[in-house]
Formats: sequence, C-alpha cells, structure tokens
Amino acid sequence: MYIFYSLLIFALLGTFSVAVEHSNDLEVERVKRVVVEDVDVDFASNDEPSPARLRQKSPSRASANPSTKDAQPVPNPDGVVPIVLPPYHDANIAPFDTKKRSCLLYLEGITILVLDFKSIGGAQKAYTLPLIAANDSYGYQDSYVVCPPGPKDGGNFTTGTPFSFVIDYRINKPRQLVLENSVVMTVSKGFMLTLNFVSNSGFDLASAVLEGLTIEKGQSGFITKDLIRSTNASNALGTNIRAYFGYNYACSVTPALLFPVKEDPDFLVGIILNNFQVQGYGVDKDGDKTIPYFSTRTADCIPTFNQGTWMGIIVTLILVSVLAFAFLMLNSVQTMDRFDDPKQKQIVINFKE
Amino acid sequence: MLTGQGERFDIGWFLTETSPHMWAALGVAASLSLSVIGAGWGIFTTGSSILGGGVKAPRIRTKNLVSIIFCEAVAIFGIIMAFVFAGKLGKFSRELAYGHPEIIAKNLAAGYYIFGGGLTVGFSNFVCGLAVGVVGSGAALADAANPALFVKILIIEIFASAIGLFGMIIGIVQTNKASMSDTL
Repeated sequence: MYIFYSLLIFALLGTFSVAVEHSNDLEVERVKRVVVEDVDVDFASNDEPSPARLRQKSPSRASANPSTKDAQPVPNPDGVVPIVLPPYHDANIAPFDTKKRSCLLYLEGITILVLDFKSIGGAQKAYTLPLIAANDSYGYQDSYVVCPPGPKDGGNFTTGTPFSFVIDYRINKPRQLVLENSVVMTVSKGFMLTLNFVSNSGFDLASAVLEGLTIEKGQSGFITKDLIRSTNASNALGTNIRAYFGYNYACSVTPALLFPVKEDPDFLVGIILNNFQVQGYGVDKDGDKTIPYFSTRTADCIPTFNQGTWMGIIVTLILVSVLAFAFLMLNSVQTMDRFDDPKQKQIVINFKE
Repeated sequence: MLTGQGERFDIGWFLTETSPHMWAALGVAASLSLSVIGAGWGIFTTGSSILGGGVKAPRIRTKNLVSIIFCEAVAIFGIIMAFVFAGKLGKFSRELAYGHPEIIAKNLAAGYYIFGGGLTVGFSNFVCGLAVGVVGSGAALADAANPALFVKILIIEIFASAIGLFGMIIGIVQTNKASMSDTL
C-alpha cells in the first residue's frame, strides 16, 4: 500500500505543477526618440557614503569626489552599448593591469522608472523609460573603478573589502516617453550612478548613489512636476544584487534601485539595470592577445527555483498528498464478506417484466 | 551540495522571500481541515459502534450521543480558530516596505506565527478527534453489555477531549502578537 501511495504522488506531481508567479505590475511603455539640440551637462560632486556592512574600517576610498573634468567619453563604435567598466576594449583609456584592479562591470542598458507612490499596493501606476542607446556615451576616468588587485599580485578579497563603480552616463539625445500621442516624461540630461559593493561571505550591493537625474514632466500623465534626484538608494540591500564568494552576479533586469527624496514623497524614481554583470575580483585574461573575461561561475538574479516556484511546489505537494490520501481511503472501502458461503444456495431474485 | 557549492542552498533566502500570505493561509487551512478530519474520523468510529450496538440494546442510543458531541466540539474548536487566524491577515506590499526592514520583519513573523498556530490547533484537534472516537466506540459497546460501565468510560473521554482544548489555547497564545499591515 505504501509503494502505491508514493507512486501515486510521483505520478500526480508530474501533472499538477503550478508555479505562482510573483510579478511586479508595471506598465512598460514604448519609447519615441525625438531630435533636439545637445544640452550641456553639469554635475555636482558628491561624497560617497561608506558601505553598510563592514566589520572593520574600510580602506580609504579613492573615488570620493568624482569630478567629470578628467572623465573622457569612451569612444565606442556602436554608441554607449555596452558599458564596460573599466573599458578594457580601449587600451589607451584603460590598460589591463592586474596590479591595480581585477574587477569588471558590464551593462547593456538602463531603464528609468517613475512610480506613483500613492498607487502602490493597489492599481500601481508607473512609467518606465528604457535608455536604449544610440548616440549616448559614458565617461571614464581612473578613479571611477576601485577594487582590489588580482590574486597573483597580492590582492585580497576578504570580508569587508569594498569595490565600487561609477557609471557616468551622458545623454546626447533627449528621450521622451509617449503615451497615446502625448509626451508624459522626458529625460534630457545625463547622470552619474555610483554602485558600492562590499564583500562578506560573497559580495553585496551595499549602497548606490545617484546624482543629477532630471526628469521633466510631460504634457499629460501622473508626473505633475520636474523631478530631480541626487540621493542615496533606499533599498540597495533589498534588491539582492549579490553573489556567492568567487561568483559573479548577472541579471537581465535587476529590481529597481529606488531613490526617494523626503521633500517629494509622491514620486519614486528608480533605476533598473538591464543585462548587467559584475565581478569584483579575479578577472584575468589568457595572455596578451585576448581581452579580460568574467569567470564561469555566475549567480543569476533569477535562480532555477525562484520564490514563486517554491511556493507553488509546496502548496501543490500539500494538495496532492491530500488527494492521494483521500483516494486511498476511498479505495479501502470493502464489501463485507464475513457471511458469504459459496456452498449455500444462491439467492434468486425474480423481477417481473 | 556535493560539488562544493553548498552556499547556494540558501534557506534564509527561502524563508524571507516567500510570501507571508502563503504561510498564514496554510495555517488557516491546516487549523480547519485537520480538525475536521479528526472530528469526522471520530464520529465515524463512534457512530458505527453506536449503530451496531443499538440493534440489540436500544437503550444506548440516546446516552451515547454525548461521545458524538465531544467529537463535534473538536471541529468547532478548529473553525473558531480559523476565524481568529483569518482575522489577523491583512494587506502587505513588499514594494512599500523598501527601506523599512522592520515592516517586512513584522509581516514575515506574522505569517509564521499564524502558520505555527494553525498547525498546533490542527494536529492537536486531529489526534483528539481520533482518540475520542475510539474511546466513544468502546464506551458504546461496553454500555450495551453492562450499563454501569458508561459513566466510568466517559471520564476517559473527557481526558481525551482536553487535548483539543490544549491545542486551542496554545494556538491563541502563539498568534497573540501576529499582525500583518503596511505600517508598523
């Protein structure tokens, strides 16, 4: 009976798997590009905050004051895509030197998100504007990437080692989000995004700082005023941008890094990184003729079994076991054969037609 | 686990990322359904004995309904606790709690409190129903043979019924602090 029980459970499991998806309900709108003249970009420098989870004092941070005076735009024949920090593809700007650093960041796109705060939890209203590049550029200077040297050059990736990247995104053509033939949102100025990671038993995104993001309101939509954000992310740890020790982190759409401002609580501005991969330590290349590459061990942001899959599996197992138990109970109903006697006379039932 | 990647088996991620609503709802389901299974099984055991014994000794029929009532009380415990637990469910959006880990912690704790309370109530009532059923069945058949035995066996049944009450009390104590909401 027990063999039958377990066989039944396995058979029913195969047919009854349901995964409950836990999805964010954001509307993704289409983007229309408009030709406008170039806008001059002006950034305010900002002190970087120290990473959150350090057990000892962090070493001095070289990129405390990113100023764009020395930051050159990285020449890239296809436009800004992809952002590679440090830009090893151009040896003039960033020669590969494991004595200095052995980290790598790869980013194919940024999406800007504006959430109507009051609508969260109900019919959430949000606008997403993908900055799919053409004629954008990104700046780079040496202080933008801080990370420990390679393993053969005495570098150490221990608990508390921070590493950080500064993405200096420059928009050459303003982007507009057009819904039903009217503009709802415009982004024309570039911004700087600083990602601060720290290593513990793996590495975590400890904090993120956004500077200079300006979103202009459109003719319609729920954005009622221009939004300017130069602040720290409130949910850097909550986005789970982290990987195990020796792994790199890769994601096609990261959870949004939200940048709230106390004076303006009605609109939440977020940055979503698309097709993103980052590694803090151990990037190397195979000799002189190749380019540096990520290591093979990758922790993806969506694991094989994500939260929704596990919840579905648990509930399905419970329901299937209830079903199996009930089926076995029904099957164990037997007719009473205590008084059967094959040698006695058979009962004859006469029915009149 | 066997290839040196044991840190990927992340139970902490599982416990913090799955929805507290699922756990709380499973607790409510366990509380009601396991109690009713116990009650039903008990009534099935006792009822068939009363019916069988009542053929030859009709006087036992009315007196032994008390055993059926003890079993039914177990199901009522379950549904009362299901009402109490369902009243503690509430709205919780993870997006609103970004930057406020204490709100997420409170809601996760509420989900687990209600799950645990539901299991406590459900399993205690399940076994209580089984026990009362078997004892009641014995009581009916003993009563049919000798009427003086019934009151003594009823005392055993009262002890069995107290088990269900234990589960209900501890279920209330476990979920006292549970509250799910978007604010602290």
